[in-house]
Amino acid sequence: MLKLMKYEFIHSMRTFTVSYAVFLGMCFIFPFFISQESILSFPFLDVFFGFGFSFLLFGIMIALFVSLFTNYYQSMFKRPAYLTLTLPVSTTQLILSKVLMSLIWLCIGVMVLGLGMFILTMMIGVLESQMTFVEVLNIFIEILQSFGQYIFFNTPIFLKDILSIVSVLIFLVGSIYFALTVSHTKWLRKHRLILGIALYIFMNIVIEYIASSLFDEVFSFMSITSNHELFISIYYLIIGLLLISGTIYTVDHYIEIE
Amino acid sequence: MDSLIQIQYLNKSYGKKKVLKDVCLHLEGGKIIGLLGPNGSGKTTLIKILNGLLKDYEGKILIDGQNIGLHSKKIISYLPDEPYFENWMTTTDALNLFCDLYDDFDLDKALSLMDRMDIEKKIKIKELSKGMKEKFQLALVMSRKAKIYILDEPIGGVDPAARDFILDIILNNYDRDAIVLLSTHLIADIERIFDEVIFIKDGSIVLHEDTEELREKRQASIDTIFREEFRC
Amino acid sequence: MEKFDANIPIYIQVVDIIKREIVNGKLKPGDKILSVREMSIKFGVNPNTIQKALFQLEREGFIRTERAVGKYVSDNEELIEVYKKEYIHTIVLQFVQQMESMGIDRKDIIKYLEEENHG
Repeated sequence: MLKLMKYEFIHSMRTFTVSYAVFLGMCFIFPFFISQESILSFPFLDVFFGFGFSFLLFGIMIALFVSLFTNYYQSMFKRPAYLTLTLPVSTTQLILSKVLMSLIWLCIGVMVLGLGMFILTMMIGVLESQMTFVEVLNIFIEILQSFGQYIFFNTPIFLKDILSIVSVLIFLVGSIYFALTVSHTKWLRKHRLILGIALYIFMNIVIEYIASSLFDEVFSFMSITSNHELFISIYYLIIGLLLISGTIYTVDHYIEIE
Repeated sequence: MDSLIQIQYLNKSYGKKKVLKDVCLHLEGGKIIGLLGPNGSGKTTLIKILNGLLKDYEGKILIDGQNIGLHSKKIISYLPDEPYFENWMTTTDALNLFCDLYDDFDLDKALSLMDRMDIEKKIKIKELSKGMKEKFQLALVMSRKAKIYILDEPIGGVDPAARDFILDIILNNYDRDAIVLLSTHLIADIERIFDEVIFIKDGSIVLHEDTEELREKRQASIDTIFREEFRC
Repeated sequence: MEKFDANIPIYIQVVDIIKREIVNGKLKPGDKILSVREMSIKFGVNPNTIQKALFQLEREGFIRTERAVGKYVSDNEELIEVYKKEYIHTIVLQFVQQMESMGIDRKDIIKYLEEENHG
């Protein structure tokens, strides 16, 4: 299975590295633009750059989301499926390797976003406030240290945060994979991609509705306790794992590749 | 000897349309077998089912004594009718993938075939011409020492020189225990390599015989017999 | 690749090709013949077909098998001579029939042959 993941990794790497690099590059360059008086004096350019940057940010996030769909869809249901589904691996290994790799790249994406913010703020700090690199760096080291202390002294809370992040990601990946897989069975023979996306949206609505009625109304007493978020995380984690198992089962028993 | 591929009463429908009807086949190792039929006759569906690309069917299929699954994927080397590589792969990626995942892959053989075909390493597969892609695919598939080779239309749309080259590779690769199942609708050029031929029409098997016996019986080439059988 | 007529069993044609090579001296008595694999690649024909052909040739006495070593052209010169005569007779007969089908009678055929001989 590790070998499978190696190839999923190379695939994702070739898809994402360029966009991540561009994003980080932009974070580096952008402050130069806004620190130039000449540019700011033009009436619309500051708004332009402000919006431009937000678009870039959202663009990266949306691109990550969309690529989860397209990478899985392409690999499992278009021409490459003739390779993917005939590889001498069990379906479980196949799907799990894809899930794990997607999770890893999502986490890397989040870290890249964080790194971008870091670079951005650092550059602004250097250019606007005339601080030196060393001064800015020291500030960030201080921040990191206090963050480290926070983790150390508040480990349970930190772990709960990690759990909620991980369970949301597992749910995200599981629901996309499951929706797309179900649309390639005998029950849905036409317009498979669109129906897959529609199914994904529908599933999300239903699951979240259940979550809200379960946790806000039925178990409303839980909102008083600090474990409210924990239960929600576990809920999404379980649903996510069920969806992944469902994907594996569907591929094993009902799949139809064109 | 138990048949390597045993298919009993295989039925497959797409909705109301029945594409495979009561297909029964027993195929033994050491043979090169032609699966012959016009487009839409069910050849591709049958091949997809054997490879695990279509799961919902009726009937029983045993490959090397086991149901279709991990074991069958390990012993089947499949050449689809069109190349199946992803856009991001280079030729080296594909070679490494086969090396890593298939125990029976012979890297030296693949490299020497690539040499003969003038295919470079490390270039993106999507940049190869269609013909080169198909040849590369063939090189990979035939460099495995599999028990079953399933080749779907390997000579469709290639020039005679390329066709002879492909037949040469297939014959060179012959193994006394392996099955080569080759599906095609271009029979004349290729019938000389078949031990047995299977005619499939509208999802049913209409004929499954030894090639030479068939020639002797009908005093005609397989191509001629085929045309007679499938005259519209 | 060799051209074969697919309307008749290929193994029979392979048998004929080998016999011809024996008769015209390309394959001499005691020569080792190609293995099944080599022959199948050379002719572009299924190995089992080659096997069938070699089996037939062995049955008729044109080749013999030496266990674990290979197959050899038989030393049976008498057999080869007999076949050669038959083969020549077939060719001559074909020739005569062809000429007759063009309306040339047998006396004139001899004239054509003499022309060819002196020309």
